[in-house]
Amino acid sequence: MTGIWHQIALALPQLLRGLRASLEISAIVLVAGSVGGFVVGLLLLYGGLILRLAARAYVDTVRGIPVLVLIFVCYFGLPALGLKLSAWEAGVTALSAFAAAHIAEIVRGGIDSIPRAQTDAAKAVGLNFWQRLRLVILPQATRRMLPPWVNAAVEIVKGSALLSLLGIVELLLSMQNVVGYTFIVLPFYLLTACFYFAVNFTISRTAALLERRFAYLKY
Amino acid sequence: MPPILRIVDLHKRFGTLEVLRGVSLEVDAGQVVALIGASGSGKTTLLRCVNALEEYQQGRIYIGRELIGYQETNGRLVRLPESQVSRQRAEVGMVFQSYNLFPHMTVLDNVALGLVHVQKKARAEARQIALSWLERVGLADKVKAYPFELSGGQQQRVAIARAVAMQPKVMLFDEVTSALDPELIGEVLIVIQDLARSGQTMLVVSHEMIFVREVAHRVVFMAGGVIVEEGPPGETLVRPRTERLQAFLSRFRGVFGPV
Repeated sequence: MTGIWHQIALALPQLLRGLRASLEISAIVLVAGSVGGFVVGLLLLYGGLILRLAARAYVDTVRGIPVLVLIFVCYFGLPALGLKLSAWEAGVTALSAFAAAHIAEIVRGGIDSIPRAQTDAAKAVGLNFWQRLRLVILPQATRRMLPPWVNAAVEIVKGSALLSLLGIVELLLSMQNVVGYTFIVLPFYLLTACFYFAVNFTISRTAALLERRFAYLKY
Repeated sequence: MPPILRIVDLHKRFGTLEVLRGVSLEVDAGQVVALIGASGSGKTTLLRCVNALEEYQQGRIYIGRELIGYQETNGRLVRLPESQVSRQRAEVGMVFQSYNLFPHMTVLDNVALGLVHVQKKARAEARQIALSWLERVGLADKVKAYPFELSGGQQQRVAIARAVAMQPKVMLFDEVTSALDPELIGEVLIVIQDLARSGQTMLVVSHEMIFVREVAHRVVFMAGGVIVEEGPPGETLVRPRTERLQAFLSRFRGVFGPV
């Protein structure tokens, strides 16, 4: 038994480096996906005909493709178009594109769920488009976007494990490396699962706190 | 002096349905004009056009000398850019049937919002103005409350304060008591009456005939997207000339004494 604990202690720094890589990837993807998703979501709602159709085509296409295929397209497919990305760049790009498509729908749905009467009232006060969005619509819509957005964040963290297939040493691949030389399988799988769980549990708890903070927003 | 509000031959279609079929109306400064008529007669649509919440296909709406929502190029109407329409809307106040307060803001912030962001007043000054209007509608003790903590009548009074705090040239009231419990209607009508006495120009859609008779200088009866009859309430409501208005008013029998 002491043997296992010793091995775990020895491997822990390596696993933590993998965890850190996973967290970095997830954070970058979440920020890029949220910014991109916000823009695409606004285009879905308020873009002119062409922009709206382009945004719709993007969202439907990307959402209809498995993430893994998207990752392979970015890594193996884009070089054919003259765009050579490193494994890390390709992976993060693919995950961000995927996240953006999902978050765009969250943004669109959240804004769309605010009654039209709120927009009318904001117009009647004399607010212009961006003021209406910033002062009246988004503060209310954010509350509704929060739960699905947290879902997306959790999916992103889990999705980051797919980048191990491109040889990016994130948490999953670190673990596989450790298993490869220690031949201790189950304990390391369990430990890794605990890491993923800890991250995602933290995210959803934080979100629950935020939701309570917005609780006054009743109708 | 030109009328404050001038509507000329207004036509409005939703698809193939023509909701307004040539409405012309003038409202002078300080005048209170009441719009009455059955639902679907175009009253609400008319108000929404005046506040540029709806586009229209034909006709003109002027506030003072300014054409609302459009510019005229070679006799054709071209919709103004959004930023200019927003500026024009700030000159007109509107109160809705369903109050439409901003639920994420306190009562005070609801009233101060336009003062700060549209009229660019300093926050302290805006709050001062907002507070004085909330006092006037009898809600000085609710400034820190959120809309969901208020009764319908209180919410509607906040909505009125929010609109009049901007000192609009014209106030539009769109069936503002229709969603209220009967015992709350009075408190809202009193506020509107108070505004009318202070010389606020307003266009009021209402089914409260006693209120209309007391407050309005002129009553306009609409049916089928046109103005059928208009005149001083003492005459128009008591001795309607047209059959359609007689039929409409018969539903309010008892309100006007012997008919």
